[in-house]
This record gives sequence, structure tokens and C-alpha cells, in this order.
Amino acid sequence: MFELIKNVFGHFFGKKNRRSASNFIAKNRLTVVLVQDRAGLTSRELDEFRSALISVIEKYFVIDVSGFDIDYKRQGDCTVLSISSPVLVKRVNNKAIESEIEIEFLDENKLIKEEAKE
Amino acid sequence: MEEPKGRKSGAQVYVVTSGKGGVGKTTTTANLGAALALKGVRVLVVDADIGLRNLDVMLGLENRVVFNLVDVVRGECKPAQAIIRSKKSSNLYLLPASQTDDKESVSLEDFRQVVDFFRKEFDFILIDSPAGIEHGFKTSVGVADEAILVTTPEVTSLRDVDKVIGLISAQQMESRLVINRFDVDMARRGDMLSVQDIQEILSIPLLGVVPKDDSIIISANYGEPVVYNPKSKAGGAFIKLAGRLLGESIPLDDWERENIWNKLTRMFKFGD
Repeated sequence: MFELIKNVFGHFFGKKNRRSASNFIAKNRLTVVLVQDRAGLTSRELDEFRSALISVIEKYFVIDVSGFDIDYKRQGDCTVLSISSPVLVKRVNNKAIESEIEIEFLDENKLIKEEAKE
Repeated sequence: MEEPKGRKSGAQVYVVTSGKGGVGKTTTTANLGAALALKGVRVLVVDADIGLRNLDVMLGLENRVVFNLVDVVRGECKPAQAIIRSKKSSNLYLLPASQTDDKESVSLEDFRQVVDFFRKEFDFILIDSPAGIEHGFKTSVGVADEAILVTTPEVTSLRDVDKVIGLISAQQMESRLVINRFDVDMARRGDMLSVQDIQEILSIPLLGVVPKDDSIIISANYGEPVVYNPKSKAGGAFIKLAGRLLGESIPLDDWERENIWNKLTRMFKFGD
């Protein structure tokens, strides 16, 4: 019911469907290009980096590749390379354990910090 | 020159820069300066765009320029001789750029000496940096205490200002963002990035939002800062920005924070 009202009002006020709105597209494009700019990597280098990371992680976990995400975020005056990888099943002695893990790399120091979320 | 107000610590120096050209650095410098002056603060605005003088025209002072920054650096005049009092406010002064010399005429050390001289005489110094990230930008940033970064809600200026944010944080300098030429209607229709989108993308503190407003162009035609026009929305916005610079607690307006649709959506969610 709410969706119906929203669509009616939306057409009434000329609001575009969110996902086809040009500002939504602009935001996505900018987010992608800024990751490249901040990391100093070309789009091809970023693809290679991504593939390399996925193959390393897949040695230890079964992951949902479609949900795999790399972000190069600014946090105050540091930049943080943040990798998000939804894990379906953990491979431990061939037994399957379900969990979700978020891995954060601090770019200069190469520290790996794991937070297991149940 | 009048006696300074007796500030012991000296002026706070801001560089107004953007990366991209044409987004409103000069407009912002002139109007922030004028707004601060209206609030009783002693302000010097400096045109650091050597060879492309603009701040004088924006303030209607183009016929009063005798000496400029390069003359001061070369010792051809005393610093006090080069600054020009604004027409409407005895608190606002301009140090114009040279119109003939090339961009490399002023080194960082030269510029620093000039700015340090004026720190004793003013409460605020706003430096209108040239566009780009080359020599003029570097010297302007090099003499400043903090940065005011100007962008518009367009992908081009946002990308450029992101790079500038990176360069400035590498100098351990704080920066705050001004979003210029914001069009509320376009943002509501989904045709323009919202203030929230921009904050998420850039992640730096927001000094404020200036709406797109024809009165800016009209005021520039007259050579008068738009803050003197009480009917101008942009003028009102610049006055708020100046207030925030002075530490006043001025919350963002509704139109600056989110579009009305998000608000209604949130209201309806209760019944869902």
C-alpha cells in the first residue's frame, strides 16, 4: 500500500525511479573513480588486485564473489583500504562453519584485523 | 592605516581553493570577507591569482588598484600602501594580484613574509587561490592555517576537490567544504547530487551550502558583494557561512540537509 502511494506521489512530483535517476548514477560513478584516484591504481590494476585478493581468500574460505567489495576510504587524515568479503563457509579441516568476516588492511602497515560477525 | 584591534595571537589565515576553476572561489572569498566584515571582524582578502586579477572586480575596486602583491614582494612599495579599503566597509581590505607578471613571480617564502606582516593587522585573512594544483595553489596553501574548499554538485568539480582534499590533508591542514550553486529543485527531482550524497563521497566537514542564485551575477555586475542584498538567498547563505567560521552554532536548513521526499518517506514508515 505504501509503495503504491509512493509511486503515485512520485509520478505526481516528477520524481524519477531512484535507480535510474542521474544523481544515483553520478554517485556510483564518482565512488568508483575516486577509489581509483585515491589508491593511485588504474582500473586495470584495480581489477588485477581484486582478482588476486579473491584467489587468496578462496584458499581459506568459500566466499560470495558477487558481494566482494574493495573501498579506499578517507578516515580523518588517514586513508584506509577496506575489504569486505561475505563468507559463506569457512574451510577448517574440511568441516563447514558459517560465518561472516570483514577484513581491514591498514595500507602502510599491512596489519590484518579480523572481526568475526556471527 | 587604522590601528589594529589588539588581537594578540594574530589573524587566522584561510586559503579558499577548489582544484576546478569557475566553481566560485573568488565569489566565496569576496562574500565571506564581506560577511565577516559586516559582523565587525577585520578582514583582508588576498588575490593570489597572479596574472589573472579578479577579486578587485568582484568588489568593485578595480579603479583603485595602485600597487599589488608582486610590488610588495619586490619592495617597490610598503605593504600598507598596497591594500585597498572596500567601498562599504571599513573592516574589509583587498590586496590585489598583479595583472601583468607571470604566475611564478611570488615564491612561498616571499608570500609568507607578506602574509605574516598582515597577520598583525587583521583578524582574518582569506586567500583567493588560483585554480589548479600548481605553484599558485601550493604557495596559497603553504601560507594558510586552514582551507576552505569550494565545489559545485557536479562530478567534475567533486572529483577535483577530492584530489585537493588529499593534498591538503597531506599537509596536516584542516579543511571545510562549501557547496556552491546548489539547486534544491534539481536535487529533489534526482537530477543533482544531494548535500548528503556529497558529504558521503567527500567525508570532510561542511561549512555550508550556497544556493544557485542569479543575484550573484547581478551583484558582480554592480561590483558589490551579494551579502549586502537582504533579498538574496545566496547572500543569506554566505552570512551563515561567516557565522560558522566565527564559531557560531548555525544548523543547516532543511533544504540543505535532505530533500522533502526522504522526510515524508521517513514519516510514513511508522505505518508500514
